[in-house]
Amino acid sequence: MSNPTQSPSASAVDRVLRFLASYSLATVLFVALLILVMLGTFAQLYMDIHDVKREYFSSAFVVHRFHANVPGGDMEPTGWWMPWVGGYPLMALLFVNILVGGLIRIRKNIRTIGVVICHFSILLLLAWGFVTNHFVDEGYMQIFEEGEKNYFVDYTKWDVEVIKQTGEGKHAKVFTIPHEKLAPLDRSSGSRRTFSSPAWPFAITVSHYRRNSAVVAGEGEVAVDGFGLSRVPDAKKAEQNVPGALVEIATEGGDPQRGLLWGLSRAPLTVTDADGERWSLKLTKRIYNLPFTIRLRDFIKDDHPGISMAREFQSEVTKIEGGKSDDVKIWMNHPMHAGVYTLYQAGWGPQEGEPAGTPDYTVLAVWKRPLFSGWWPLASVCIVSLGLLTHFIMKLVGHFEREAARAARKAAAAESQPAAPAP
Amino acid sequence: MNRTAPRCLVSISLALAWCLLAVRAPAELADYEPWDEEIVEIFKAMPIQEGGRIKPMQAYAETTLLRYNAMRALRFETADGTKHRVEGSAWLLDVFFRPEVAKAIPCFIVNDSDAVIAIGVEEHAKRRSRYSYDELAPAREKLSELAREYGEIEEAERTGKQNQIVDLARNVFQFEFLEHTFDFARDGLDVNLPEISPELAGEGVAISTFLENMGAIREAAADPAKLAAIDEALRTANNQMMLYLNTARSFAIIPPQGDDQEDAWLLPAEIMEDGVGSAADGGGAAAFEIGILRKLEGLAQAEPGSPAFAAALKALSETTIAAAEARGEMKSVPLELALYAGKFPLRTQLALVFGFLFLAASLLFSRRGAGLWLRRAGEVCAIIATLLLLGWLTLRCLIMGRAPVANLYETILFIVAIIMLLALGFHYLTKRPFVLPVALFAGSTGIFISMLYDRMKGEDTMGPLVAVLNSNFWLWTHVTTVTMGYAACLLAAKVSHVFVFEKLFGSRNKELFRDLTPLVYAIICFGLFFSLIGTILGGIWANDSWGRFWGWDPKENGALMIVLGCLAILHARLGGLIKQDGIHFCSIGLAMVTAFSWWYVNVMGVGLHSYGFTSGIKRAVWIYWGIELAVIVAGVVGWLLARSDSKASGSAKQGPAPNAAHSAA
Repeated sequence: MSNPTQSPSASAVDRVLRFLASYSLATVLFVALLILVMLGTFAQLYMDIHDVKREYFSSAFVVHRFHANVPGGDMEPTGWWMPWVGGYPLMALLFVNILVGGLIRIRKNIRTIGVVICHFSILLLLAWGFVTNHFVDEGYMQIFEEGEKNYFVDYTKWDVEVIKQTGEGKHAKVFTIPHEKLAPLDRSSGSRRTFSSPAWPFAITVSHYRRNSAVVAGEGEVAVDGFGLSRVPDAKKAEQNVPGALVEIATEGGDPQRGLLWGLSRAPLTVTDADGERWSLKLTKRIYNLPFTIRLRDFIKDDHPGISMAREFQSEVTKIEGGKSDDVKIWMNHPMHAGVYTLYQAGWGPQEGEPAGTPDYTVLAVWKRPLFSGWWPLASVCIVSLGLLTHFIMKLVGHFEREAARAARKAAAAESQPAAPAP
Repeated sequence: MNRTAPRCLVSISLALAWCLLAVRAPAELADYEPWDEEIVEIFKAMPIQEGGRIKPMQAYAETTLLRYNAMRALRFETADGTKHRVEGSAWLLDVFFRPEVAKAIPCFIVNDSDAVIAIGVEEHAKRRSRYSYDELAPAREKLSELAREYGEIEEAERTGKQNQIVDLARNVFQFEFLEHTFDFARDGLDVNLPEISPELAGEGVAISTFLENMGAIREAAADPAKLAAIDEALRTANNQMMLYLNTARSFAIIPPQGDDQEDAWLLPAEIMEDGVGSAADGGGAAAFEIGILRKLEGLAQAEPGSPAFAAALKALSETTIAAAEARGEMKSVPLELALYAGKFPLRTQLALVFGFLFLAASLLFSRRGAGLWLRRAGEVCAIIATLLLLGWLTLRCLIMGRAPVANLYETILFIVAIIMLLALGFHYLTKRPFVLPVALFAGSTGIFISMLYDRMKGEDTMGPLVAVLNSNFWLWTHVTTVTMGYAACLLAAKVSHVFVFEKLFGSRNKELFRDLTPLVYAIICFGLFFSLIGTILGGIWANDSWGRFWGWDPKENGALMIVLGCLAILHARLGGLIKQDGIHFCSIGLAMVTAFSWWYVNVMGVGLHSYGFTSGIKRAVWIYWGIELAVIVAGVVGWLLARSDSKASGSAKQGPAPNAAHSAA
């Protein structure tokens, strides 16, 4: 019942807050998240993890399509589907629910201190998840023994690089059409988008963008100069997809030029503008520059004795920065930290199937993330442990006190009863 | 307390115990001479290196036999009616040194006789039976052909018969390699170079002698006049040696010289391959290795079971043990022998089963007299089972030098141990009589599953770890805490089963129901604590290993689902959305989520935690889900019916509702 002295708007706000802080909302959110996580787990049987992350956990809404095994070990859609809420709204609402219910509206006294601490740490963790999801660059670098690199490449993001050539193989400036603007063009077959920049003497129209494609001699979905571009089914791992697209370059006063961009193409597409300047375009995995260089001195794969199972693999590298060299060892569970960058041992080669004579190489996963964010989860786990322990121990002590009181009451009741007359 | 449920549980467990203890019908064999016990004891304690670790021969023998026979020991009956029980080490002695006997022993399990019919072998009277190599050998070609054909089909897609044939072929062909393991030591080489050494003349020249004389042979080959004869002799020897090189590589038995434990032990085949060069140099290491080859030759050429055989075996064993001790590699071998001698699976299972039976039976009697004695006996059994489990896990820890939670088999043992510890704790703290029998029943089921899993996999459960898991700190922190969370959730579900079944069987014991609900709530809180902390710790480990805290990998998702399940139950109870019955239905649902996380995600074949496909696990998880879902549905239907009954009786007590006219009046 509303308070007559309270304004109607205050009452509405109170109702909204009460709803946002309610146990019912929390329960619904936990169950909805549980179902989402289960659907996202099953989806990994037939989808790449990157796609699952994007479609299920970094989305507002998801349509889960049920799949079944078919002979040969593959999975095919059954035709059944189920709409569900995506990870973003669920986690955002959970954040609000914990904030309002677990921190703001909760009765704060000695008995609820553990609960408050737990809710605070979970909020920290959710906030950390948001930060890492939005402010992290992730990629890898493959370095051959005695080789070095000062950049890493993204696993799945492909950009179009527009490069102004200055002759002698050097280029003056690189502009990019980012993956985020290209990827939406894959959603429908007729999608196209024109990109222009004051720095360019032309406009670039991208169409027929296919996130995994093949270039074949002849027709294909779209063909230029006897070569066709065709969509191919997604690779099992999204990082193995090779995109392709048709570009039309409209120069001032000249005829528009058409060409195919393809991820594995060795030669870039070249264009000459009205002033005779040469430009080249290529579709390439996004590159992130590092403020230091990593040189691989040695890669060591150490097997368990007598079998070919790796016990350890490690990269002995030298970090070169500002004329200073540091020898570092990177191995499983022991990454290298360098400011906002962290380098992990992720892979090695040559693997089976690679050409004979391929030298040893290492694959290092590289993460760039806000400073100190690595400590965030550790702090959370410490706080949540403290909170839960405090709460459950207090509950347990309370339980034993109640039990003892009950037993004492029983004993007192038994004593107060008159003794039964002797037979 | 209603006594229907305990009676049912007693009947079920008696049936289970009968299944476990039932003696299999033995197969027939003409005659069998058991090995001298001393020989078996020496043989089983011999250290070898196999599967990436140093282990006693007994471990290798039992794992191999388990793979063929689905049991760690053989039982068969000879024509004279004598029943034999042959343990793995004795069987392996037969395979190596009395192959004709080993071939006649029925050691290959065939679960469905259709598999042997398909290869043209006459089936036994029983559909599931054991066949000897001699029975299967005539169908070798057909077996090979079908195995090749079915091997091209994905394991998950094969029919049961096809899987049987593929497995049978693998076992039969491996058996053939095994029985020829010591051919090199038994048969030697045909070398005819008497001009170099009188020992190098004729058939069956010992390989150790041949290798010892390699330097002289090379020296002589420098003489062009002798080159042709030497070349011819070496060609013959090499052809023979090629055969031995294929078969003399079952396990490494020769410790390398030096104390670097990262150096692998040597296979006899490797000594033959490499020994030629090192023998020519006359190095000490080669002399040691050749010395072991000579001991192997002495053993293989002695009459099996004779005093000479025992002496040769003892000499070989003492040499390898001394070399292993010098390298500091013998510490785990006696512990592993103690592990096998302890017969922990069987003894733990017996303690759990009897503990359960005593406690379940005690519920049928009053709390004094027989009931009290039965309860005490049950408690003692529970304590013994827990101590056995802890001893079992501690031994495994000491042998492997890591936390005993790195594979599915180990997690079963760990979970059973935690369930028992938790139950004992709750039993003595709350004095409630139902926690311990429930835990004993759950523990017994767990040990039974571990035995089934062991047979299904037929592999070393103490094998080395892949690089990413090779971190004792994280195994002890993340994996143990997450697994403790699993244990709590499963125990809570088991207690909830008591609630649901008691209600379904019509019990009206309100006191019991009042006790069960807070207990389940407390266990879920315990589960939440460990699941949540374990999950976050896992994220921190992933952060160190793979560079990301959370990757939505199936195993990570499984752990998160348990946390979400616990949180949903606790918040739903606090919000009044679920009450007594609801908590128990949700608790059983939580066990379904736990089974998914514990087993299913590991065999999905995707993600960073995929431990490989094990045939049948997915199906088993679906069956478990079906059963638990049926329990929940039955419980919900029972609850709805009870509610409608109580409403009806409530309205009957209140009398007929006043009609509208009365109300108006």
